[in-house]
Amino acid sequence: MHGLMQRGMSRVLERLLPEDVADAIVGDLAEEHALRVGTMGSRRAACWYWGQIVRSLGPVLRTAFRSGDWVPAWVVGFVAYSFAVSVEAAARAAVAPVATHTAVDAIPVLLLYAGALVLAARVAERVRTGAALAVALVVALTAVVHLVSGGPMPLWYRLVFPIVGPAAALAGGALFARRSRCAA
Amino acid sequence: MTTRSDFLGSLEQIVLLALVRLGEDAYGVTVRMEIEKRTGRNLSIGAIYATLARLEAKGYVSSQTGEPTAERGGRAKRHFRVEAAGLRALRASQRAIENMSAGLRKRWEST
Repeated sequence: MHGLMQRGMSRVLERLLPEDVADAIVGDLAEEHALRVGTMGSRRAACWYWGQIVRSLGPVLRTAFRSGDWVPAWVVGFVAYSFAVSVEAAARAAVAPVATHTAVDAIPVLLLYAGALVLAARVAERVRTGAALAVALVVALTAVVHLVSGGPMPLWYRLVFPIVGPAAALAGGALFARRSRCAA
Repeated sequence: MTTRSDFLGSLEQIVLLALVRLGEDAYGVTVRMEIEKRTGRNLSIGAIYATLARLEAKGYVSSQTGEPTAERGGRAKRHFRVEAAGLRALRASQRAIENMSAGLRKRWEST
């Protein structure tokens, strides 16, 4: 599980930073994590590792933004996000006439929205590296805003979406990356 | 005359001093550990690399990629070294602190 999450984190860093820098950071974390497993045990070493990841995100994001490479990725990501939101709105409108006015009505909307996010993020990543991550960040931000401020969707939808939405966008990016690696 | 951009932030000074101490062996892990050992500050690796990126952009530090190793999951190290401009900026910053704090020891020790 830890190894799987390590690989996932590497992918995120590779999207944010130049490949050699991301490589060095992931390698440094792996090296120090291995040292700490010997001195403090695997559980505490894993806590240290994830603490480092969480605390590193701020400085890494600031560095990525300063580099300027992120502006096009954000623009592409925002266009892709707008497409997915349009699909969600269309799905909601389509469901409305046959709605049973129960929490179940939101299930097809969630599935369509998640599917649209996977597709949009995949295409966005193809257009610009890092765009899928931008989509995931925008989705996460808007999902948290909806969770706090309320809205037309049921509570379960607003609770689930902050996890499903960004995961769908990241899955879209990963799908494109996987296909690119296979083609290479 | 020292310009505003010549002044280093405190973290930049600490990272540069760590690079000077470590010499050839300066890379992410050793820099982070050296700072933790000498200052007690448990910095994140992201903060170290963000500072190094700033210093590299200013021409104070240069870096080169090493060979990938097994204990790093096949990832390469990134070695850093301080350039002459970095040493000059470090000396200027240290001098500025010394000048500003000269004669003040009694004052802050009495409070």
